[in-house]
Amino acid sequence: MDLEALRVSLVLAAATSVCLLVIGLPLGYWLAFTRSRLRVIVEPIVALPLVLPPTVLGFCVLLALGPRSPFGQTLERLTGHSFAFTFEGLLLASILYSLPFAVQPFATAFASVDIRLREAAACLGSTAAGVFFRVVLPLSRRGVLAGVILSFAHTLGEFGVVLMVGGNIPGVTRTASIAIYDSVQALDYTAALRTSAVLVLLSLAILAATSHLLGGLVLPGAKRR
Amino acid sequence: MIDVTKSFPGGPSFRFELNLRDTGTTVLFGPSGSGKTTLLRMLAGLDRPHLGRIQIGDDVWFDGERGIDVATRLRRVGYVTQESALFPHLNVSDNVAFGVGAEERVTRVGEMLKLVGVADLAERRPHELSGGQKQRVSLARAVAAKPRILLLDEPLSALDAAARDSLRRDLGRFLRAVSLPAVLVTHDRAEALALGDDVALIGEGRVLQQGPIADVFSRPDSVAAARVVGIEAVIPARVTSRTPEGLVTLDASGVSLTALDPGAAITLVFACIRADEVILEPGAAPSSARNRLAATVKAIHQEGALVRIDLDCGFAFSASITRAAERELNLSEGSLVCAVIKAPAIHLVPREA
Repeated sequence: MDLEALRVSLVLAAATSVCLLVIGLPLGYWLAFTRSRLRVIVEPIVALPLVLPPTVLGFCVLLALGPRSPFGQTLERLTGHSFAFTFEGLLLASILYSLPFAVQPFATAFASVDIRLREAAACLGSTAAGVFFRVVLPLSRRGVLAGVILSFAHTLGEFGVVLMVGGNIPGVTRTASIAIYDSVQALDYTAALRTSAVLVLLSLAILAATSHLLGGLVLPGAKRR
Repeated sequence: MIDVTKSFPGGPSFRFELNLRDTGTTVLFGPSGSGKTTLLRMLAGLDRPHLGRIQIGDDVWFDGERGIDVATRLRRVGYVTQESALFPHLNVSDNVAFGVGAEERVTRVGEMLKLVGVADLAERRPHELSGGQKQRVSLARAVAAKPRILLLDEPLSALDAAARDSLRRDLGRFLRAVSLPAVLVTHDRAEALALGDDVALIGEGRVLQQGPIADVFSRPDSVAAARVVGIEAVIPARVTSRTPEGLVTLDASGVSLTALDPGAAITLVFACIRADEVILEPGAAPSSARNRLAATVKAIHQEGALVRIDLDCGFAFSASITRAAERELNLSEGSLVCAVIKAPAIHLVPREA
């Protein structure tokens, strides 16, 4: 069993969830309440990873991070090293890949907060930020938690994107799913089975804990008990 | 001072012009769909008028020409809706404290909860409250934030009859205690009469008539206004005596009336008399008989199959009779008639001094 790869997977999933919390909350809020026409463009872009093959997404990110793209060049100038085949590059790809799994539950939860509550807060003198942090966010905590956990679990299971962007560097970008693939290629079924079993149990434990915490399923659209 | 225009694509359009009292309560009275709530939401800054101007005291909240549209949070309005919008994740005292600064929190919240009579519910969550209790907390929350105007959108209409009566009484006391200008939306006559000082009749997408409530309800100045209020005299009266059989004697501008006892210790009332409940008999009335009033004909209006006779017997009221009855009575302006009103037809609404 590749413990090193499991560690990389867990760190990557945790870092992705935290980043998505930071990016996803404002993005979800904007998508839930904006009347801007930009929404027609932003919403499909956020949802794109749901339908795009992970290899395509990974390939695009790889090209973008590469030394020949303006984005890659800028990153390299800012940080002093290339992002391709690094943990940072992998993190960036994971954030994009799991974006809808965080933003969608966030936006759904925000939009389901009764508009009269937001209006009441405004009448009581709250700024837009006050309305968000004192009313919308506390009332959306189930949806926010669901988004964080879904993006964590989704990142834990990603394969195609990691393969494209991360390469296969032990301890840096070699995640559990890649390790399993390698073990199978090498006909080491025992190792593959062990790592798989750990992933299955871990994922089940996370979902069970969440289900317990939220008093219901965490799948988007699922009703609470 | 308010003059706003708003229209909805494919829907109704409104133009409201009215003046609000500096103190006391202005009632917006009219049927459902007449735009009362829209007007209130425009005052709160929750809906934007297309054109016009809203000025409260010296503060301009909206001016279409000058591009002024003050944000809701800066208008400082206490807004209470039909279904209370309490924050479900906060308990009662945190709800009331929502718009209160930290330094004042403890005193102000306690004071407000006491004023609305729910001091013992401070720790409850909204879902543990009855409808009436929720509305009391909503009122406390609105006033705790020190608004400069209170906007009440049918605050009693979602309550059952018992809770409505009790909150209506308390709301009257509350409005006087906080002495804030208030705008109350309602389509309930009793609520309007019990709580309003002024009334603006809303209909046909505009303000039909505005003035002191008893005047407007007694003397609608147009057919449209009469349609909104119904043809009904509203006479300030005082209970002078009660009988054990459940009747009260009223003094209405010097005229004695008998009506059903409204109960409790109510002494100040509006006596409401519908024109179609008044029966006219020829000749002058015997002075002592119950609810037989000697009245003078002031005006005669032909209204289709019916004739409305404006009468004066010390207070003004109207009788609605058929054309045949009018011919039999041979009425003209200045004639004396006897107007008969059954005691149950005099509807009493409590009022405050």
